[in-house]
Amino acid sequence: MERFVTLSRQHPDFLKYLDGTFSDSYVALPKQSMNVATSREEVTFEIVPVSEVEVPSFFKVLLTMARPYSAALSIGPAIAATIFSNTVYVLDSRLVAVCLLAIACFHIGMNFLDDYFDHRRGIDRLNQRSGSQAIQNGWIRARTMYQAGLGLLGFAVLLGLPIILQRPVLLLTAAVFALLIAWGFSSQTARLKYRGLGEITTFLLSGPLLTSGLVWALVGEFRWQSMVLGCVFGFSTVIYYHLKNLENIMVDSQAEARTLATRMGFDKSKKLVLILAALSSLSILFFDWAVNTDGYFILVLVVHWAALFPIVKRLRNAPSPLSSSLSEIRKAGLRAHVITTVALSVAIFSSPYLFGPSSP
Amino acid sequence: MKKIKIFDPRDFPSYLPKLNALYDDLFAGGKGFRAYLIQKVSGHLGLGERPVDLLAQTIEFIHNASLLHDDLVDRSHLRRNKPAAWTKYTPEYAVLAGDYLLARVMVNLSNHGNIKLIQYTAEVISDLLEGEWIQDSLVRDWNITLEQLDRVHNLKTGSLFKWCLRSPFLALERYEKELHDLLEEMGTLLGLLFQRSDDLLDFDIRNSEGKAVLGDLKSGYLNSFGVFLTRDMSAEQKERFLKSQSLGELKSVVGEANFEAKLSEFDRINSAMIELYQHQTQRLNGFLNESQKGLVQELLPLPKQLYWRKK
Repeated sequence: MERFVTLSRQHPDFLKYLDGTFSDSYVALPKQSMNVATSREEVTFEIVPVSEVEVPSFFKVLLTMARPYSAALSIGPAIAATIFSNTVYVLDSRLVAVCLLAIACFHIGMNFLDDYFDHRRGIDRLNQRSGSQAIQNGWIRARTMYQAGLGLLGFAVLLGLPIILQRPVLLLTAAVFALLIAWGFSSQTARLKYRGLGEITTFLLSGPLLTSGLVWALVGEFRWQSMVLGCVFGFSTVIYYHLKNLENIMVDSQAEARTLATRMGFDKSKKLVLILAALSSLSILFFDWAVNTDGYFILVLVVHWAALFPIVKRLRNAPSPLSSSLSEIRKAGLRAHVITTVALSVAIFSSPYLFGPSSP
Repeated sequence: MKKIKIFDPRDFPSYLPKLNALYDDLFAGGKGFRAYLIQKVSGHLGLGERPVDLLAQTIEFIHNASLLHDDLVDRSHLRRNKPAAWTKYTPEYAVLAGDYLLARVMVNLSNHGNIKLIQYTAEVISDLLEGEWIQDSLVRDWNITLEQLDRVHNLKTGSLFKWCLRSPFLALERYEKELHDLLEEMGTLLGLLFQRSDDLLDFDIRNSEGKAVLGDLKSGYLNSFGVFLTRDMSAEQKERFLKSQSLGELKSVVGEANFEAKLSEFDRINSAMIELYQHQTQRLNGFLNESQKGLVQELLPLPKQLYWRKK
């Protein structure tokens, strides 16, 4: 077999090479991609025997693929929502464990599918900092990544099934809605992520939809305050997501992926972070009002701003889309999310104003 | 191969003697590699003498205009071992002389009349300026990655190599999209290999031209090999690396054996890139008729010559 193979999208084996199903004994590593996501797409693959691919330990590959740091964006809000639920109702610890496990599987499954679809679309082939790069490094075949992602989403649904059966109508609607959004986020057909709807999708999935759905599942009734709580996390996650898009603005533009960053441009995008920070802060104040705690959560607001301030400051000084400081700022965005989550969780847990767990 | 005269004072207004003097200095020392590449490609395609001269002059004008601007932006005092134009003729004249060259490019190409060639040339000039702009924003950015640098180099260096490969085909009115996609890929690889080889000179590796050592580092710019050397370093080690005033000092920070190992690894990665280039070049055969196929043989050894600095 030749070392390099160049195939156009029209070639009957193109998708087999891209998915890694063309051979059992070789892997095809994408080396050069032209006209990605168009009918004229052309990819040059390096064909490497499976035995010659340097694959780290199974555990490391799994960790890289799962991107556990990003799970903070869903598990964090889920824990906060659980604590909030506990102020309303005495919770069944098994139910809590099942729900959190389902959310973790859902999130990791989404990461897998996102990696697969970004590989297919070319984003992760053009940008070596995007996604886990496990497919591009030849650690896993794209098709296997896809199947694992679907499997995890299916497992999450299975875990949630008993809860859904208890409260079928509305909870099922919410679950189907969440699954559709999750699928549509980066799939080839819906491509919400690339149509400029990624920010809204992220806001819903990691914000109001997540917290209100979980509180509903745990408590058995809809609590509007949980939607407000979700808005804090939703905006906070969108800040992180937007910082990531800002870092990838050049590649996304090249791949014609429409994100808020590519649409607004570098300088206006930097200002958007300030607006998102204001929205997340307003959500904290609104939550304080919603649960009637007389300003107790202003302390959370102070912590939230203490975490966000360095980001806003450093972002103002970032000179270009290729500046390495953007990568540090993105990481600071994730840290700010985690700090806010912890502060909010502690505040909810310790608030003397919220209902006691014995209340129905 | 005929030596093309790139700069002829008769092409420029005689009432601007300072401009002519500046160009005299500028064009005197260049190797004219890009013009040479144009001649190589054009020769096999059977392009006439006048269009070849025009293309060769165009690419050298664009390249030299970028040098005039680059030296000023970087505050480099030397160009080809002579005072940089902005130090000898003032920064204002250097900027104007660069702009004037780019304007001449457009005038000359417009006279030729191939609108696709004009459009593509304008795109290349804007890529080049974008690259210069971004590169300036990366000064003293010590955490830059190789991939980010490659993006800048693709705009700055790669764009000109792509132009050298594509413009003769455009001049022949060969506009097939697939052909130009392929030439783009080849140009990208050539540009990166040329740049990486040039970056090695800064560490006195295969530096037969006697280029100033550690010039990039001292002017606050971590080049591709610098990024490669520092990527696994501790913060403390990196700080000492960045403060190095001589190559000996730098090697003592990295460790002599480690330096050699890193160089071998860097060469191995770039050799793989050379193989990728050769694969793409072989594909060019599909777009050429029998009389033109000598071009592939001519282009195949090019990256090795460029990267390993073989005459």
